[in-house]
Amino acid sequence: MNIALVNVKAPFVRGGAEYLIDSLAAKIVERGHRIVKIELPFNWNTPQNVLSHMLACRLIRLDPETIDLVIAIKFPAYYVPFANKKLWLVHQLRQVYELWGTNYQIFPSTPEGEGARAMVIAADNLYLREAKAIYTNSRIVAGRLKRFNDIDADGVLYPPLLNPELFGPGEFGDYFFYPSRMTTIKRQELAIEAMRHVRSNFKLVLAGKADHDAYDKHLRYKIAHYGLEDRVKLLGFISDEEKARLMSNAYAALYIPFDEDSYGYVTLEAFHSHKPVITLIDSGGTDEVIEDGLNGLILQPSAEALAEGMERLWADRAATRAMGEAAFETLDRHGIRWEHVLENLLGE
Amino acid sequence: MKIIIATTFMPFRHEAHPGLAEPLADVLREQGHEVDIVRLPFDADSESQLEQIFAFRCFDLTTGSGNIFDRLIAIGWAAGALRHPAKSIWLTTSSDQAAFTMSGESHRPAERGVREAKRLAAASDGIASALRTLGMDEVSLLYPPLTDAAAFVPKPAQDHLVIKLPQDSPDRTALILETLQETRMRGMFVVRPEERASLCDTIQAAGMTDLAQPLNVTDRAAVGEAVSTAFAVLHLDSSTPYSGDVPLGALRARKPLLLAEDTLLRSVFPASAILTVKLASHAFTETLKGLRDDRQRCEQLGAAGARFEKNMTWEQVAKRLLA
Amino acid sequence: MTKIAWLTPFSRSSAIGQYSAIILEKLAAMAEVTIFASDLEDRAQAWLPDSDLRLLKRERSATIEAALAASDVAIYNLGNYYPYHGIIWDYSRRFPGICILHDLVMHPFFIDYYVYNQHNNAGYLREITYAHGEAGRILGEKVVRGEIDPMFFWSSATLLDYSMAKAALRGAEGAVVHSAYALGRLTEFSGFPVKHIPFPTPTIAHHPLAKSPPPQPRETVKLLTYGMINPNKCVDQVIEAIGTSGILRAQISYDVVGKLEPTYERLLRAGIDKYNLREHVTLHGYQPDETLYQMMADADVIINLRNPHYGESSWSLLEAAFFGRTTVVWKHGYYDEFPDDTVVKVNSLDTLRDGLEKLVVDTPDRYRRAERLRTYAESTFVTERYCDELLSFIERIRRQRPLLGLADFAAEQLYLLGAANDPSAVRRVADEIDRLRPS
Repeated sequence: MNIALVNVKAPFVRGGAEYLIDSLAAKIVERGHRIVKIELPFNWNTPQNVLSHMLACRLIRLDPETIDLVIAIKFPAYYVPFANKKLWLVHQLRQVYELWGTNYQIFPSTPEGEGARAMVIAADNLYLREAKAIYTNSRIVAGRLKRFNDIDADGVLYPPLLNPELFGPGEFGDYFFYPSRMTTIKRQELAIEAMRHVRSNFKLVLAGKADHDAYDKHLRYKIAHYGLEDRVKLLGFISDEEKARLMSNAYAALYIPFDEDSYGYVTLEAFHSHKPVITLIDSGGTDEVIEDGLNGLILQPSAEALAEGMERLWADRAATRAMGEAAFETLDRHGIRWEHVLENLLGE
Repeated sequence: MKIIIATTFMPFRHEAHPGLAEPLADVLREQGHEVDIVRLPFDADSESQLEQIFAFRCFDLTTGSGNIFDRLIAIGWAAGALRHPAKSIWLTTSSDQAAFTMSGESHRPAERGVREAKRLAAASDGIASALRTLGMDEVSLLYPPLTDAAAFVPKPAQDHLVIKLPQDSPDRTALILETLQETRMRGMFVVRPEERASLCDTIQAAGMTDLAQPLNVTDRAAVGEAVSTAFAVLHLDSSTPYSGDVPLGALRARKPLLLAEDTLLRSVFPASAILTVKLASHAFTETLKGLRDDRQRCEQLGAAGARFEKNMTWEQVAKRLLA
Repeated sequence: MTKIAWLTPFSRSSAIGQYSAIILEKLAAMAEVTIFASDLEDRAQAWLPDSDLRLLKRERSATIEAALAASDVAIYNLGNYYPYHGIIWDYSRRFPGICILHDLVMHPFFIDYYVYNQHNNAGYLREITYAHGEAGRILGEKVVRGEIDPMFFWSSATLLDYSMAKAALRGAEGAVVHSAYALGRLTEFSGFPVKHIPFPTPTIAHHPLAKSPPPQPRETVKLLTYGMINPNKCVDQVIEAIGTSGILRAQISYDVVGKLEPTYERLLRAGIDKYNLREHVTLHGYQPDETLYQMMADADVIINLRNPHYGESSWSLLEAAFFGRTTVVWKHGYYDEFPDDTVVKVNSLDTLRDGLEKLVVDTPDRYRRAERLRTYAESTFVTERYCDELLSFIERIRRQRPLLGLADFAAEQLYLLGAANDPSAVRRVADEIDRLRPS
């Protein structure tokens, strides 16, 4: 089959969704199919841009003579018209759904903003239903789809890692590791704040590319301002190999985004590395695979609670090791495998 | 600066401007810029071209995620329709030229994009002339350098020719097959995958499977090796000013480059580096025989070609497009 | 709170100014309102001099434009009288907003705006062609050539047929009208939302005389017509009805109050003489308000005929209703929207005569109608309700702005791409935009 993977892309930003597409592409090619990745630019910084990009996606033309199947994963890429279209839904425009009424909403709380929001929701209700099948990457995304659009997903396909063999167990070193795209919603700042309350001598290592320079500068300022230069390291972008090495030898991992749809690749990377993961009660889909006390900790979303949790793990090495083993076993327990994903998406 | 390079492609068919975005991006990154490449699907054969171009106009490539995108370099007329206040457009193919020579108002979509550009560059006089008829005088000539220079290396010549023909050109194909018969040289025809079957049929029908074979243009290593070891390269594609690395690769590999008299490359490459051949029976044969007998001539052509190619760098391209 | 820029004539000689003042006194508690007066040089002459009031004639257009841009919505009061509404219309085209259309016809406005003030016949022709196509253009050319007196319209139903509302509202985000009739006419052409909001409570409703009950039954039933006395008030027909009815001649007196159009006055006097009604019919001419109110309070029946009508929503009918006096109207347009058991509706000399006779003879019915009319008016024409409905309409208009903004963007880009030559492409884009409209 000729398969088109359709996604949206904010130039100069690469995150979990892009990694998912690359992984899916690689696995589909391994199965003997041909893949093309179509990445449409997306700019959501004004309501007008959101709407015009939606319209643009509706007018993109893909030739059914040369493409057999379209798989789309994000808003508004799934608006691209194609008869044989399936969705592996990672993101709707959350800012008009569960993030409406929070600091993350992007449309103003005015009648104009509400009008734009209504257009997005109406379009989702219409065009999501064009798909032959809709899978989601987590129960939480499936739940939102039902709650807001009254659509039943055809199933949950948990995204596996592309190269799990890169990750494996190592030492339990003296640092907690948090590799992720640097942006406010991932809350690296909260992790830095937590280190102010830590008395033990472990460190925090943050890695990842900042979405924009201002956030990176802000974090560095905070580290310097609190005198944490020796305790908190900001590595910026690192290679996959370096990330795997750091994860293997971390004491534990952090994954503390705000209200994320899925458990995140960081969680999988940690599990493959036999490390427990600390997350927060408002991190969203992380609790689909992280169970408090079993393979990680689920804490209150405050700097003090995060510090206390890290200290607790640090104080009990044996328990931490046991959690790490349980973390690895979680992968099989939830069927996080590519075979399962491809059976459903490709119908094979 | 944050620079976006935009181009278009037809999924599972071909890329409109294959391989130009990556080397340009590489050299810009070496110069310290951040570069991202945006490839937009564009079905040039569709009746819905205008809607697709309108869709491109809907995309905002000026800012995103708190970043300002300083420049947009669009390769091709369709990508040139994207909006950006600091846009450069580079036009290289016959489709690009055709977009501005359509009758009536059909060129308006292409025209809109170029009118907004801060810088316009064209791979040939033909494209530049088409733009001038629409009143756009400030177009610089900019032929693409090699996208994979390492593949083209001066190597001892073997007894084969590398040939580039336009699509669906039975007369020219017949002319070249005749040349191969007369010179008893092997011919390797650089073709797109979708052209391969038709060419094979023609070669088979002519009973020349021992002397002629197709060579996939996508197999860059094989194409590079074929050119690097060729006796000469024949270019008869008059349909487009730019069709990939083969002509310039021949110059880099110091191979004689024979151009049909109507090819657009004649206005791009210096006369000292090429041989122009009439489109007539035996003309290519005579020229090739002459080269066989005159090695010094081959070397002179090779040296002139290499000097020319050496000055065609991606740094120059970056400088012209960002000037 | 919603920031509203309210553009209106606002001098005490302006009826629309009074209308605005009634609304704005309530609206100012529900929204942040800045009034932009189109007819004033001195705020002391304004209906609400202490309000947040700016004078369009005294400020530079750049500062006015900045103020409009800073508002959430601009409301433009548009009427026929060019000196008051010309500047408002100019701003309405530069900053689309909601137009309150007080006059459906608008033809005198465009004649004044283009022909008399700018000597710009081409501009006038462009507008009438926009509003009515080729037929409009032909009529407009006759007007500019002087073959038709522009003011002939006042006596002709053609005026309403060639309503210039479409031209007046070009580019509006929405429109407000005060009758179902006007709503129907506007929705024939408008691509924007139109809202019918009943009038607010007229000031007269609070006048002590308005609260007075109808006069006790007496020997002579007093009939009253008031306003600008011109042919469409049908006073000549009332005189003929009286003159040809023994019942009416025996039992009524008829007062006609208001400035008399001279030619029409001669016609009326001729009718009075013809039917020997000098003892019955009195042409009072203009009277001060208090005198008029006294006469309204003393009247048994108010005759408020308009034929032809020009799509107006009659303020005088409103006043009669709040006075609680039985009212006779012509059965069309706005007048026909009042319930049948409140006003008496006529549509010919015969039905006028019959209707008046019945009112004279059937006193209980006359009182019942008066009471029902007052009750209907008090429940329908409520200023607070007007403000609520206007604010709700403003919210609706604001909610549609993203969709319209997208359509504007698409139109601009399609134009730049030369899409005028590819109507099917335009259609496909338009269809996709339409599908983005929330249901």
